[in-house]
Amino acid sequence: MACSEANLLAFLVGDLSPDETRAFDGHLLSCAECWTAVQLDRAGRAAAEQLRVHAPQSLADRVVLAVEIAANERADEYSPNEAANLRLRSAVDERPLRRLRRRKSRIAIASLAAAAGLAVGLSLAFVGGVEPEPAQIAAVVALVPSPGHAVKNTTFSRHLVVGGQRLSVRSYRVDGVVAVVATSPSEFPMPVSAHLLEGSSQDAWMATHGSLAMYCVNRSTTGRDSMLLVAPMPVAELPQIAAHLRLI
Amino acid sequence: MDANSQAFLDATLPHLDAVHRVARLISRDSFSADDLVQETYLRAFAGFANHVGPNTRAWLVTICLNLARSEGRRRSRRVTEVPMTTVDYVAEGTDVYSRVQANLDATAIVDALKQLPDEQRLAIVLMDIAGNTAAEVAEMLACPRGTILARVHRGRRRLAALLSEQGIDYGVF
Repeated sequence: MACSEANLLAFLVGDLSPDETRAFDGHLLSCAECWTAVQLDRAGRAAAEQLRVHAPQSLADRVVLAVEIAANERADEYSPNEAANLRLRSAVDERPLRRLRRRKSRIAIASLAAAAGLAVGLSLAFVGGVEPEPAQIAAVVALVPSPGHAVKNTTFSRHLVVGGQRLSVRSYRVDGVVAVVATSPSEFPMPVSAHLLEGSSQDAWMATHGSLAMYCVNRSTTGRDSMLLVAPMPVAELPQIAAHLRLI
Repeated sequence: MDANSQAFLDATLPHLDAVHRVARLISRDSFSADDLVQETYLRAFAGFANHVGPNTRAWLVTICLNLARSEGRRRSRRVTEVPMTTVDYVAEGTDVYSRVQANLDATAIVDALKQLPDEQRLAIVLMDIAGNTAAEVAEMLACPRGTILARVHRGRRRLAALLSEQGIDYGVF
């Protein structure tokens, strides 16, 4: 068989017939150039295949959640009831809704702080003359990462039991900051500094902790999970964020 | 989750590894790679009803390539991820020495890949790393299959030679 790149490529990819393959095998025994080319090709392929890594589970989680959010947004677009609700909310207060729409495209999954961060955060929450908070609240607060803080070994959801209360925690990125959401079948205890929201049909409260704002809706009596949202943003904006995340 | 979303994920998530590998090697860093993967899936989700081809993996990789080429990806990106740890190229379960060595090799391979001409590098990424066939890659890149095979072959040879210069061989010399 003749010495040509076309034959070589056909041999390497398996395009040759059995007879042609045998002929090319014979050619390789007598052609150092083709032999080297085959060896280099196989070595290069073997090297490249070293980069066949599996996608991390965190990426799969992120993709699934992004699709869920996209599906919900799509449902919003086609649901007459949702559209009516949006118009109603818009009539009541257009400005937060506009802000929310701008954010809608930017809400993102973010990472949770490492377990060590939880321990450190819990301890920090109780020092320096700060009014003690219930352990459940302090735990969620501690999971809000500091700006610019790189986190390793992240996950997109976490289950905790703090102060005898079972918590499911997820985090999102909103306008460049991380918001942490905890849900629980039990009610969240109210910090001393919190205030109940007047006129709310549910047992809802708001509070601040340094630069963090907290918004909680307790509704265990209705059979739904209670929700606590913590984020480093103005407390007045949290209900809109919670609504967008379908938490309320 | 509604039935459509579940059907989409059932069809596409098995190909996450392939999309991730391509994104990882055509993006500037792992963070933008993950952004690219997510945007690929969101675009695919939006167009899933119109996807009729039997090869979902090639369809996803094509979307990924098109997004990577498009500057519009940055403007339309919905999600940015908090910086995390870098990608670990080594499977779990191996001993520490092997893991360290494999990581060094992987880094050298990535560096060597970057020295290849773009066309050769992309052909290798799509075929040898993402696992597509030459025919699929030819369709993705809109060029003849023979051209893809030649690019891959020349890229592999160059890659092997570059690694050999660093004392990294894969059992042929």
